[in-house]
Amino acid sequence: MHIVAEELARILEDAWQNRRPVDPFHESHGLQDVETAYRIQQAWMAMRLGQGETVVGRKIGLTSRAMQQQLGVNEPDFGTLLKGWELPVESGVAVASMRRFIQPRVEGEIAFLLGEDLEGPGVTVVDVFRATVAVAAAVEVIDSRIRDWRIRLVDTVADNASCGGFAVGPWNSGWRDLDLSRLGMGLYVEGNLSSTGSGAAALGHPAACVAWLANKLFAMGDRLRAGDVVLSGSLGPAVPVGEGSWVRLEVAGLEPVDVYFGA
Amino acid sequence: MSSIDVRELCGQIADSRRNRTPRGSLSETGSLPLDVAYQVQATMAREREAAGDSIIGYKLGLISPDKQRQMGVSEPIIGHVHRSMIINPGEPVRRDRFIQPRMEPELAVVFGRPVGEGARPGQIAAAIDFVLLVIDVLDSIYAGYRFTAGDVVADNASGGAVVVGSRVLPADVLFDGDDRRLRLLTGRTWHGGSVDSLGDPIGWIAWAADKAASLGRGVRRGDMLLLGSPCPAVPLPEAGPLLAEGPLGSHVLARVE
Repeated sequence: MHIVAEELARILEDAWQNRRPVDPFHESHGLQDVETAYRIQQAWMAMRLGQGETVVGRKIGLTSRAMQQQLGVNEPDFGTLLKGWELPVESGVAVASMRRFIQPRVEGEIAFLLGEDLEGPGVTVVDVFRATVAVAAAVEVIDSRIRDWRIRLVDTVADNASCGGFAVGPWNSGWRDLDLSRLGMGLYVEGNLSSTGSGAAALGHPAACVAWLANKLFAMGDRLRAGDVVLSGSLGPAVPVGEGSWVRLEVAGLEPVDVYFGA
Repeated sequence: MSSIDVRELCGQIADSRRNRTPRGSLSETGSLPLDVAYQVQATMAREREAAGDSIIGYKLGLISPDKQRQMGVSEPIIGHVHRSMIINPGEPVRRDRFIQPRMEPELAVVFGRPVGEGARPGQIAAAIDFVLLVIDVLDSIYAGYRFTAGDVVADNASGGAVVVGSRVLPADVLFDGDDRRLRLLTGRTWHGGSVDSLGDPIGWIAWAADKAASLGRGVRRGDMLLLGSPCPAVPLPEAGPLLAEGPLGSHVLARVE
């Protein structure tokens, strides 16, 4: 089946606008290759930017071995963080309306704020260490425009790496005193410890994820830019949330983030 | 030696590395002067860079007076570090990319500014952005590491790979602090030495900056410099865990596969 990226991007845009999930593209359109999936993602993001959206940075997905095994892949994927999808954090608390989401789940991550461009090829963690201005604990709300999360790699890549929203806690510019691979993470939903992990859960080191992304973007003719926020990948399993959920993310050494999911 | 000899030596070294076959000394048929050896090293580094594997810094070797005496030289040696030599935290160390790998725990400085020829101590200290604990994986092309100073210089100071530690360290760890040990797990025992045995880091950085300038490229912003090991190298394990520890609870933790 011939795939026109813009057509599938339109389907995703409509699904997102109307909060109405669609069948997986690997079924409905025979989508198979990842390159085409990224072209669909790019077409969708271009559509959003055409609506006046702006880019905050990037997110990295599928960084844990468990998620990669589940989807039968051996590398991460990435999506774009849009300003309109940010859940503003005030005094450590973000409020999100459930009307934004279809089938949301939350993940605990470490966000990077870059002070310099990172352009591949061959970007290493040493470059990431040099370019990083600050880090923060961040709750990513992942959400799928694909019905019942029946995703393969190509579906989630096209669907902006299943990004739904994100809440970034206060930036910590003293991150150089921390070993990001050894930060413990606890994600509480309704006061229950629902997901735990550590920095090393994301490809061994969150900064290694950022390096991977810079090199991946280079292969696609792009780069990470000074000022970009990069969500470096989940440190533990994702947890479903619903209306009324109160989520608290604690990462050792960083300020916590609370997210309340209202009506 | 003529420039044709330099090309010939480059070819011999490249062949050994490509075929992963240890070889005898290059100096067997006559001594290989250090300046020619550095020409060989710099030529190969430039060619590697032209092929897409950029130079991102340098490594010091033979920093202890004992080792220098043993090799019949009166100063340390320097080698180039290329991008492809870097192994990020979380990446496996692939044993089959090496010939006869050995490892040493080291500190590496990363510069936030260039360091020019004749830089003063204050300028050098100010140019250090941060320090990393690394495992320096040596990989000589010479069988059993039997080489002359000229041999090892021509072979890029035995540079194999650099396994990067998981945290950034402040420059202070070069000069003071309670825990001065760098150590490697070898089997079930620790093997290491004190940062203090590295001598005067600023002095070595100044020497390296001058040497790097004389090789044509110099020390640039963002470059790293491995400061040498406080203990003798030990064989890289065939497989299994790789672990080094350093100041402020820093570690390098990887797997050899």
